[in-house]
Amino acid sequence: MSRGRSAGRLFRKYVVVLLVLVGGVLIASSLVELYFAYRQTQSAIVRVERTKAIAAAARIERFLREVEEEVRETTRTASDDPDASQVRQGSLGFREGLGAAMAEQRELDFVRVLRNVPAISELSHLDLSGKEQLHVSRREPDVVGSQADFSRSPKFLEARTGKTYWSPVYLKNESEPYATLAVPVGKFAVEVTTAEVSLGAVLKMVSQIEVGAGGYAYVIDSRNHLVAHPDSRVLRTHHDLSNLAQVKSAREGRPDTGDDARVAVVADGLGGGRVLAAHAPIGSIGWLVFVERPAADAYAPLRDPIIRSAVIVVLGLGLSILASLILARRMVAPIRVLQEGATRIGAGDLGHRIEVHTGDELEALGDELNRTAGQLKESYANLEQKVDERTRALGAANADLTEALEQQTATAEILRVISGSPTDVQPVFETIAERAMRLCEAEQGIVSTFDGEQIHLAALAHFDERAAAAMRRTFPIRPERGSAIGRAVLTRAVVHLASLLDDAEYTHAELAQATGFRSGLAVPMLRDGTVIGVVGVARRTPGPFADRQIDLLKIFADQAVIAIENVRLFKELQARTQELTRSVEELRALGEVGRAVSGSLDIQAVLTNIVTHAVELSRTDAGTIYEYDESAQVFEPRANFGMPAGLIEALRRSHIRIGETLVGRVAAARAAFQIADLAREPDTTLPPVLEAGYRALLAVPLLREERVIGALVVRRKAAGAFAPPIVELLQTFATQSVIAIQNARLFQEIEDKGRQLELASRHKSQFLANMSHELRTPMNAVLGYADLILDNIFGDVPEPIRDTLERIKSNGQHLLGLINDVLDLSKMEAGQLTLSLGDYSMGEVVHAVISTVESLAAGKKLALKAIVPPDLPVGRGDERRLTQVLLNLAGNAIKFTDRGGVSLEARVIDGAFVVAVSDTGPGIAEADQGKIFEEFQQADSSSTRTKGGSGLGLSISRRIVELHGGCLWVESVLGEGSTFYVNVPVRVERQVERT
Amino acid sequence: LWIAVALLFGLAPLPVEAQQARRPFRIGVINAAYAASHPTVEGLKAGLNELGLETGRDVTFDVRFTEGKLDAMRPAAAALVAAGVDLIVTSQEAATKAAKDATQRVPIVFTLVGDPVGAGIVSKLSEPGGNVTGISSLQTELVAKRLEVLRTLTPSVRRVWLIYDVVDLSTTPMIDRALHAAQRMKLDIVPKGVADAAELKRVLRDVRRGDALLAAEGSNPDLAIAVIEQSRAVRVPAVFGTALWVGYGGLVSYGPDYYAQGVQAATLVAKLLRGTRAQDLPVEGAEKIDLAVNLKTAELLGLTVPRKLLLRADAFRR
Repeated sequence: MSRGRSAGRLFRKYVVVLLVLVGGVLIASSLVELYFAYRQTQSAIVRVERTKAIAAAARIERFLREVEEEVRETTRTASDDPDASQVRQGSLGFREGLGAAMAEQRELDFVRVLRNVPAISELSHLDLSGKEQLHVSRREPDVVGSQADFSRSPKFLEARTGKTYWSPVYLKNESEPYATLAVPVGKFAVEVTTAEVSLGAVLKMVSQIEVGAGGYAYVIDSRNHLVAHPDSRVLRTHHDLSNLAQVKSAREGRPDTGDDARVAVVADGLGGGRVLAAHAPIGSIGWLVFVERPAADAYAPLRDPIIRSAVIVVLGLGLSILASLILARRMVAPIRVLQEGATRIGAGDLGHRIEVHTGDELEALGDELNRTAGQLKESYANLEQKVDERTRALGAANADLTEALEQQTATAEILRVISGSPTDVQPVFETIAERAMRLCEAEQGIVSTFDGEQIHLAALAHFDERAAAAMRRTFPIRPERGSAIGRAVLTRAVVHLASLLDDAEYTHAELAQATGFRSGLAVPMLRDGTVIGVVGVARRTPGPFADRQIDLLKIFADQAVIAIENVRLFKELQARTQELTRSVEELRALGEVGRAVSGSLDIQAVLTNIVTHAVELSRTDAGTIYEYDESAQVFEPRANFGMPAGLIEALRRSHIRIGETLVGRVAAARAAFQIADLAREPDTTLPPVLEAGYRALLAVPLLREERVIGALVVRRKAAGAFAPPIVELLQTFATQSVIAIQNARLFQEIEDKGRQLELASRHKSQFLANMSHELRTPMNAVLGYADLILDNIFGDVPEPIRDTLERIKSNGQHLLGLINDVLDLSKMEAGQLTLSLGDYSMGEVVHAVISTVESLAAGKKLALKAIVPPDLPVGRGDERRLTQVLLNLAGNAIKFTDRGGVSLEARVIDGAFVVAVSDTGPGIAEADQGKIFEEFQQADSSSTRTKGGSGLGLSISRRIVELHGGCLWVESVLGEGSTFYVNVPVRVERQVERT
Repeated sequence: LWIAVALLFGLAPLPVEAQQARRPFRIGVINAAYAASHPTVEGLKAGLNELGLETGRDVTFDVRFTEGKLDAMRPAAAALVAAGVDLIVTSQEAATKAAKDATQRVPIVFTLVGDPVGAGIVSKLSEPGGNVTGISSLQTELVAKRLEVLRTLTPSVRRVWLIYDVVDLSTTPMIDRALHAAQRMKLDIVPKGVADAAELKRVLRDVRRGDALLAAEGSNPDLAIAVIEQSRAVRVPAVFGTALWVGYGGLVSYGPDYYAQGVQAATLVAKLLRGTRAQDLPVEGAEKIDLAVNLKTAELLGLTVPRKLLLRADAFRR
């Protein structure tokens, strides 16, 4: 510990000193270099910027000057052109003539400027007093003599003094920069021409200046207002730039000296952030072009030098660490040797000698330590001798224990092998043979098994391959007394031959010669008193085996028996388990198929499911379910599994008939049938099946009430008969297939019937709708003409004819009513009836109904009563249709009641109107209460004849109420009158579609 | 060690990142032209070329022209958006509105739109907002100037029939402006919306001597051609919105050039392709406004073209 720390401290001292020296110098020099490089880059950037600014300034100046020139040119011709004064001189007085001619000439000049200089959008001529005399525009109509007064405006005042005047910049449409130019007219400078100049060209020039990424250029006018900037937003929002540092500096710096260092300004840019700015003035009009780049750009070229400096610093540091390591080692090495030596002596290495040859105090210290170590070594020597003696005594006692332990270990080892190899007894035998040989100190160990007749060699452990080979050749042997093993089988007891050649019964002398064995021991393996094998050992020296060894061999024999038993039991268990698994699989497959059959109407999926399971469970390779097409009298393959596509196609084309091939034969016999090897009976199948490599076939018929509806076939590539359980299994699957096919057929039929019914119903509704319409039209004509005749339009009508006509009319109206009912109903059936929803008052509806049926009731002397609470809410629904419903109910009530009265009562219950129409009529039997709402039904069919009516009213009423999302029902007791209830929501916002 | 140091000092600066070869920008074009070579499209291509964007290498064009059919604009615009163009250039209101409805993402540059604010394409010229900017052809603004040109050429004119496409609603603000300007100029304006050439013929039955025609720029080129033919047939002067029609025999025109608008739009397109957002580019007024006179037609109508117009005008003899 202390060593490491002191060495570390010294090491750190050296490192720190060298680091400070080398690293400090390196960093300082790098920083200085970087600083100068930064300054150089900065000034280079500014130089480039300035060049660009100057170039841009020159271009802008040229543009402005050209514009100015063009405008001046017009004024010169206008005032100085002698030709101009000649125009139309004769027709006017001189002054006017000159003025008019000049004015016309000026207009032409202005027009020419507009054509030549696209940047000018308007030109004006201001006279002596500053009044506008001519205004020519590119976009607006020209104006002559507007007399607008500009005498106070700076453009007039400045230009009149003979100077060219450029106004501050203004924006048109907030985005297009314009400036006003004013120049004096002619040499005498008394009149002024002004022009509105678009600075779009300047903007374009500024936009096109390439200043690197993030850089931009812009122009300001003499009042430091922004003239042009590539970003129109900046142009709109930043107007006065007087406060910018670079602008201030540029303005102060005039007159311009062109000194780069002075022009370089680091300032805040227009878009925020620090920028490097350079500028150049534009001619004499006091405008400035600025070119700016982000200040950060100046750092970009410094990237490489920074990396280089960093690498040098790192290298320098590395070098200084290396140097400090070498130096430290030089200084610290002898101290370390001393320290290490002292530590080793302290730890007991007394023979260690410290080697320090520095020739100083350190060497003396080393010698002193060496001497102390020598003395210590001597006193230790005595002690060691005593310890040695003691150790030897203990060793002898240990040997006996070791042997016992070895035997224990061997039996444990064999047990471990037994448990580790439950299915195979061979490893156990081999372990026993090997352990028996080793622990009995023999040259061979042997395990043999006895099958009741002969003794077989099971395992052999040996030291000599030649002897072992001779041994192996003798097996199998018969159980005879001539050999130790044979005798052990016969006697079922331990056979101990201390000297083989001296034993009287021993007959294998030549084997003993060949192998060199002189003594042997054989122990039988007994199971329930029966010998099932022998464990034996043999030695090349004569002499008895120790009792301990005999006992050990007995244990080994018992263990061998256990192992054999284990394996037998295990194998039995395995066979049982396999059988069980198979049964479970079958059950599961059957369950799945059953579920598929009952849970799905997709016949294809179900049959495929069945054939798949049939093939898998019967351990075959392919299968097909055929369906028998009775009309064509052929078998059609409906589902296949494991079949190549070509074979399926071949089957489909083959059109198997009853009696043909295996399938046909099975169907004819109505029993399962199999072919163990197709190669022997090629006639029973189609050639493609044989070609596909199938050798064995099993087919079962699909029967329903002894009628063949198909067949299930499985095919196997291996030849051989099918076991009865498999035939049985397949028959089960066949039954399932029958059910599935049957289900599908029934379903198909139901669906067909449903479709036919639906179609019929639609036809009926359509027919009714058409029919009623066709009937109604002529009926209206009949009624209309009857009315006309009754109104004496065709002359007076004699009384008998009138009576007849009245009857025609009333019967016609009745018929029309019936037709209307039918029409309504058919409209509803066809889904064509729509409600026209609107606000209504239920009270008014009830009263309207009452007033309509009043006369009917009065005619039959019935009391008519309406009960309507005054505070009913405003309803929303189809008022006309609801009135129709109540009218129908009230009309019915009156129609069927001969005595007593009829009442209508409206209430609101749970957000719905409930209107009850009660009568004291005959009532309706409970059995008929449902029927009356059906079409063309009345409670008593005979009443149709006595009471009239189509029997459609209630059916229509119920539909109307249902379209409102409500319901209509009746409560009645035979002989005690009936009450019909209408329940409709108070607010119906949407028609309820029929479901 | 020193060799290593020397190597480090000799480190070459990192190779300049190779200019990435970028796939060409795809520009979609929609207009009502009868061929892909609409002058505006030609101007656009020329303008982009001048700005260093070469057709084929840097930009490719997908031109959808609907042959005068306004109802074909919407599917065309939707198809362009679906085709994944980087930018859409439109001509006239119908195409622009169709493009605007088709996408709020792909930038749109319009041309030949007479009054972008009046037509509801942008809310403000300086801040168009959304993905749309372009060139205003100032058709609405220039209508007064057009009447002035007409009167300069035929001082005796008293009544002007303003012919416009009845289905093209974009002409409405222009008609208002014309009515307003005519009041000051003491002219009668008779706006006549017509659906096709046949209807125009019927309308022109009422034209008398001393009348003149003003053909509104619209999306239907058929109508302008019909005005040219009819004005020559019934011998009445007609003024048009752009020099194109004077080239086809129209008497006189005052307005922006189709080709020049394409060139001008190219600067906007280039800015957009370089990453500027459309909402930051103000709508520009057409820069090049021309006066064009067809001397042969003038002769046919017995008109002498005054010097003032000749000085300003591009003359055609066809």
